[in-house]
Amino acid sequence: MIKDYLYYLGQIEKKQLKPEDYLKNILDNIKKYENDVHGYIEIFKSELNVNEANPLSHLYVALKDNILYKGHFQEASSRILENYVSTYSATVVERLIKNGANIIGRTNMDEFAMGSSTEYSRHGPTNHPFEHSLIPGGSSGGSAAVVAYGGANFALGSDTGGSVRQPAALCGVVGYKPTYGVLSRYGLISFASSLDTIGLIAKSVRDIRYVLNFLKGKDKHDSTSIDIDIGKDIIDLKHIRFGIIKEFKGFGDIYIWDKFFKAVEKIGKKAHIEEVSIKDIERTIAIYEIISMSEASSNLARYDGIRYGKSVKAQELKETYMRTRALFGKEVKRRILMGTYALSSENYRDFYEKGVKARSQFIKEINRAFKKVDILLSPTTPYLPFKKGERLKDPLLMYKADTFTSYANLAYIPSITIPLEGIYAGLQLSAAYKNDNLLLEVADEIQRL
Amino acid sequence: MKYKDYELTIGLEVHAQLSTRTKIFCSCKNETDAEPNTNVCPICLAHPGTLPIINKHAVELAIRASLALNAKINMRSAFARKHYFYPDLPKGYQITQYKYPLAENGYIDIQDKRIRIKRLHIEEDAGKLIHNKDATYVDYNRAGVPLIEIVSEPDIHSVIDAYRYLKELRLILIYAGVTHGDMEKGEFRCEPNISIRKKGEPLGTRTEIKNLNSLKAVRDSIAYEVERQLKLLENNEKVVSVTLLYNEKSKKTEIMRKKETAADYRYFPEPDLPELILTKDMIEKEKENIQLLPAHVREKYEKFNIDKDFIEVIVEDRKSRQFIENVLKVYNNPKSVVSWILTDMRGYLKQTKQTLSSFNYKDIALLIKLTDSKKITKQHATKALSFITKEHKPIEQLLKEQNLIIQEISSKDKELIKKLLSLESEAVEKYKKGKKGIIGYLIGRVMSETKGKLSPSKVKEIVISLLEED
Repeated sequence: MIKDYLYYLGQIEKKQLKPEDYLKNILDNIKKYENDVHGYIEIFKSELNVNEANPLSHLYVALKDNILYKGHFQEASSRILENYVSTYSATVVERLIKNGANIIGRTNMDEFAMGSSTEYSRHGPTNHPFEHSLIPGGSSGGSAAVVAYGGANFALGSDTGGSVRQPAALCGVVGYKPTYGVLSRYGLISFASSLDTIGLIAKSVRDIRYVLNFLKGKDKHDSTSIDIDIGKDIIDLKHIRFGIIKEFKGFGDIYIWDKFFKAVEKIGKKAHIEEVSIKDIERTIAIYEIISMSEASSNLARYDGIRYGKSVKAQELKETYMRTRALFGKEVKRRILMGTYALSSENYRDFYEKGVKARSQFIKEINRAFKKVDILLSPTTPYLPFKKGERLKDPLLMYKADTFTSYANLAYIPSITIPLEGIYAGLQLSAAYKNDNLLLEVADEIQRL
Repeated sequence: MKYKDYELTIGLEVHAQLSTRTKIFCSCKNETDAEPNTNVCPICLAHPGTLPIINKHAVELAIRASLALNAKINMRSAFARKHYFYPDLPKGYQITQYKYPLAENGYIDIQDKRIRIKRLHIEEDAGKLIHNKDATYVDYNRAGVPLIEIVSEPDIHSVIDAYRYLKELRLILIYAGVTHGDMEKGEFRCEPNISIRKKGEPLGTRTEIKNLNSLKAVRDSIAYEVERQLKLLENNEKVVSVTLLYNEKSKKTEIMRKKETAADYRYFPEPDLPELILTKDMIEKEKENIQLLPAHVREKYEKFNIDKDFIEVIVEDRKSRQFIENVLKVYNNPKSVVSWILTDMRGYLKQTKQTLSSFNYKDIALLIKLTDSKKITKQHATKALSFITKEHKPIEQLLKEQNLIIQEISSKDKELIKKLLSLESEAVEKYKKGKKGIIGYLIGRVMSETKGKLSPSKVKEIVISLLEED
């Protein structure tokens, strides 16, 4: 039995647990872990409310530092947005609050969500919740870590290439990236618009499904948002066809693969599993890098020191721009430069345009796979949590963290990670476009096996 | 053109602000002359996390403009980002349409020529820099105002055609209700590019002129630029690709910046907006919304056999046109109505610094009718303008009170005329000797003596009969 939010909610309803004790427990965890983990940048203790009777009462949500909450600091962990105060709330935050949830604090992240270890933050790194010398994954490392140690019972992150699933896997919690558009991006600080999704982190799949119902759906502020149904279908695993992605096999850590196949074995007792080949899926990371960096170079153009955020004044306008934009961290600068290069008229055809073509080709490939199977299986990450600082000098190695995750963003499809037993890694399940309901039902069943 | 060996080519890029209630991607008011930075919000200031939502009415107006310009509308078009850094551009990119514009291949006719339109697309306006002595300020009221950009094909080869094209384009868009079209306010802007080549050679280097806020400035600046380029070419010097600013005081263009390297705008499809997909219904609806175009007005008044210059005034000046149309509803004699309102009445209004709006069209209709039926003279009709607005009495009564109604000639009047003629024996003599023209003088004498109350033609009849009698 996982002691998740819905479990405690039941206890509170049955009066077996006092709401204030539940909150105290969470705050105690923060006291106990936070000094070593550093998952939070800020905690809104005085704003918490324990006594409301709303659908999402007693939900204490940790917000990644790139999701806007009116009247609060939001910095995307960047010096360029130092002390920026949100003038409005993200649609998902509005919907959380409308349904009685509490925002407990904002969590650390890689600057502008660019990174896989939560080391590129102006606030310093977040540590793995249980192995403090290791990284928690990223870029939503803060959100994953605080849910893992019980400092929040729910968290919002953002997943552009794996930034929710990857840290969730490394911290041993559930991380879900919905179909593109299911959660409004309004109020999410853009990294790569065609890949960005807000993602949910919790202890259990059922918590995620429960909360998702209140957050999902079309938003008049985001014209790429869509509606989907999340119903309660009873699913028998024996009718589900699982496919292990052949091309990923053997890549990365053998311990992870070992545990992965143990999980597969368990599922295999209930369901049909086969191996599927999806042409070039192992190379989608390259497409992901071109598209995400190109869009990032555009999305980050607004940080110019003219209207808000930090500004370094100079005599000449150009100098103001240069000095202000020098506040971006190294990794962000690197990606802006590469994205600018890929979009320049000289290189557009060879990079951005090729990337877009390859993406639509890949979507055809993956749709073909979903004719054969319902759920794609793979480990969530190729690597276990590594030592802090270890990969800062090797960005290409760092980028490989997204190898198993970014294809879902490219294909706009839903994907979820659930913990693998006995290891800081996850089992990743992906479903076809808009099949979030099926994905969550199946993942829930598997988590309970 | 005075140098026969050369050919001039003018390309015109026009930006027209759409007359929507709100901006193109947010719900801020589309009202650029408000107090600086009062019509702004997180979206048009490009705060983190904001996304654009297309204003449907802006799309409708752009469709309407495309229809009015005879362009082929693309049922699917797409937005793109155009990047450059400037303080008036909040996002660091402008959302525009690039590869897939809303409409293509249109045209407008100017007199005997057809000027083709290459494309029409939707985009957003930028903010405005305000330079002060101590600093430069940015006003973002204009940031995100919807624009259409209309690009002409290189069919324009003279300054006068450029002028006529712009004038007609502006009128069409105003008639279609797409833009208010005030050039002073920047609601209709034009950036001409000018190149000159020796006949038979490839197109010459283009220069571009900015900062033009009247049609006259466009015309004069192009003319100046043509001369400047010709001089360079005649002296075997090269035309350099530059952006020029027009100085309205000195009537000269000045170099604003050299285009050393082509700007790289890094266009790419806007990921925050889906493709713009139109329906047939949307287009049909806009067809219905175009009720009147300049060509319709011309056609109508040409049928009445009205002077071309008058017709252009009617086409261009909406207030005059509406007034005339109203007058015609009461008194349907187009030729005299148009001519009286646009000459006699217009002259009076100019002199007294009044506008048509202070007059009731019914009064004016009656005045013209009375003039036509020779109940009052044209001069008195003009005079009546000075009091008919002040008094609330029936106009015929007012005219009577002022003794402006032409009276029947009585026997008493005849006696008076006889008496006057006897006093003008010299003129009468001249008339009899064959100098018939002098009759005008004699009639004038009678008219001034009778204070214009008599019909001049009747007076003439009587004078002639009296003179012939002897």
